[in-house]
Amino acid sequence: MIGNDIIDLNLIRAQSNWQRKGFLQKLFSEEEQTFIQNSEDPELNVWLLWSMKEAVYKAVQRKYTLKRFYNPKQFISEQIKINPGKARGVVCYKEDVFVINSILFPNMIHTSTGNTEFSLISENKNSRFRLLQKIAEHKDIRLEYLNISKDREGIPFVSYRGDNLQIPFSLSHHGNFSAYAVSLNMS
Amino acid sequence: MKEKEILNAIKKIVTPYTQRQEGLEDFSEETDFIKDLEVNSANLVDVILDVEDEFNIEIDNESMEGMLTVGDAKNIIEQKLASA
Repeated sequence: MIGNDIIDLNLIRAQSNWQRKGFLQKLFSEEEQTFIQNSEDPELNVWLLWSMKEAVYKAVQRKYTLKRFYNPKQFISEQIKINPGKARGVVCYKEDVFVINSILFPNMIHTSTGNTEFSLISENKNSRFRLLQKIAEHKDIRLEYLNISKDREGIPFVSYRGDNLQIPFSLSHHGNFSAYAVSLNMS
Repeated sequence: MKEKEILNAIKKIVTPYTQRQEGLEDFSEETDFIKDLEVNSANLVDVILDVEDEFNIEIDNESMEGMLTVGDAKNIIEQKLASA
């Protein structure tokens, strides 16, 4: 199952003080905290690891049709490798292990699970339209019959004339950015 | 502590993290931090830390897991205060 998460770094800096007492302890395991504190850029890594947990949270919520929950420490990131402009690693949730990939920009981080076939990031609000356009093109169906709806748990799905197309995708917004990650192969 | 006092304290705590101000107008136990107030998921930790400071309690991961609405938070605070 697919999951993604986007973080607008300028906005998150204004919204959160990661150096606040207790903040890291509530979100991260001892090992993750050590990784963050020993890294060259602790702030970037706080938000990188957070986006990894969020992306995998969305993937497992969908995979097991779970009700929403808030337990960041159940998601443990490991084997994180950071290269210029990108990062990869794994996130474990109970018995599941997800490979994740992130792209890093000076003002934004986008993370998605390894089964993502394509992702699209935009700085405006039309990413929803672009997603539907891409699906219409790929499946050779009419764009005007496509729509995005949300189920009771807030999980979005693509419908065609009201029917759920069962296309696994994940959508994330934060500040100036929105992004989607799609896996068309699995449909 | 009276129920109403707890709800008022939660409202005060969550206000600076609220991105959807209309959500504060019909603030009730059903108010959902993320859906109704559009609190950023990273800021939920701040809400929890502020609740811990305000009520002098500790919210463990298990309690945190189900803290999605104002009513959830109120119930957890009441439980923790009762067992303190």
